[in-house]
Amino acid sequence: GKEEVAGPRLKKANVAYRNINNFPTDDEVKHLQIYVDKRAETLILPLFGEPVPFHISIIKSVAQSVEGDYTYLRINFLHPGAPVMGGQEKHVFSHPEAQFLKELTFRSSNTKEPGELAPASSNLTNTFRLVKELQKKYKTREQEEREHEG
Amino acid sequence: MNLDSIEFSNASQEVTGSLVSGKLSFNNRGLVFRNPGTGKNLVVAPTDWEDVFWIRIAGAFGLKFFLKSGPMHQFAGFKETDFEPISKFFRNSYQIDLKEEDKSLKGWNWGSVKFRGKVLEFNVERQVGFHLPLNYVSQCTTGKNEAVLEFHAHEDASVALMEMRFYIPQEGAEGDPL
Repeated sequence: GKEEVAGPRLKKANVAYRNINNFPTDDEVKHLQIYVDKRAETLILPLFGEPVPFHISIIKSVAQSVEGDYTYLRINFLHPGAPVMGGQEKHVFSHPEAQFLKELTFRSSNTKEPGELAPASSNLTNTFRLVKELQKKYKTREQEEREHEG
Repeated sequence: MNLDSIEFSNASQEVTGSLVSGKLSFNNRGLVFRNPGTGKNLVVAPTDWEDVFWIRIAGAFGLKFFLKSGPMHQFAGFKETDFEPISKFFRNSYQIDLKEEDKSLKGWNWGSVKFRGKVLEFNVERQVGFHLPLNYVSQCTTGKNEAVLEFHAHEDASVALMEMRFYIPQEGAEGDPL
């Protein structure tokens, strides 16, 4: 990946998988549910019948809400003009002509189907928690690297 | 080798993000998918096939058909070893090449949008990010630098995509996809 994201310093974009053989084959991926790959620091989302990877570094925020019988999970991605968390500056990208996926909202039922151990929405609830953890881990490491470079 | 048909009894068709089991055959009528639930057959003659791709889905394999009439049909449930007989059958019976899809694994959310018939293709550095069949869209609205797509939810999907938003750099960079 030679694509560059211009931020406070010029930084190469993270690549989720370099090889198809590293792509997870866990049940969640196969069953078109959301999967958080901690090793690759990547969120795998089911889009129109296919698992699609999104690296944690481009995820701005996740939000969860319960409305009636359903749980909703909204995933916000970094895009030009999006405010940087906790700061006044805006993200600047070195590819202004590109189109960006900005936001995705998924919905799952809170009702436990007969024979199931957990309601379908547990996939969204777990994702919310795991993404938060992964974001924290990623940001801490980034911070450490920045301090190390001085 | 000149077979009249090949059959896959454990195939499934992708329908608004869910997989529906059935039997997929290729014969003199072309593609035939039988849904045992509804008892209905989907039949697509090879003369309507624009492009066919062999795709990888989480350790398994699938087929993506782009039709000249616009829509896309996607099937899952194949093994790696199915590629050879399928591509041979397509070549011999329909004179159509089965191509391998070059899928992006980069994990990026920026790229370019193009249209293949009634399908939106999101490409990341000339590799396929994902394909969005436009008939899944229930509503589309555009705002400043933004396009909002809402989807018909599949009743049986345990995780259903409801909404997708795109950031579009300048106005007029993309036409209204609907």
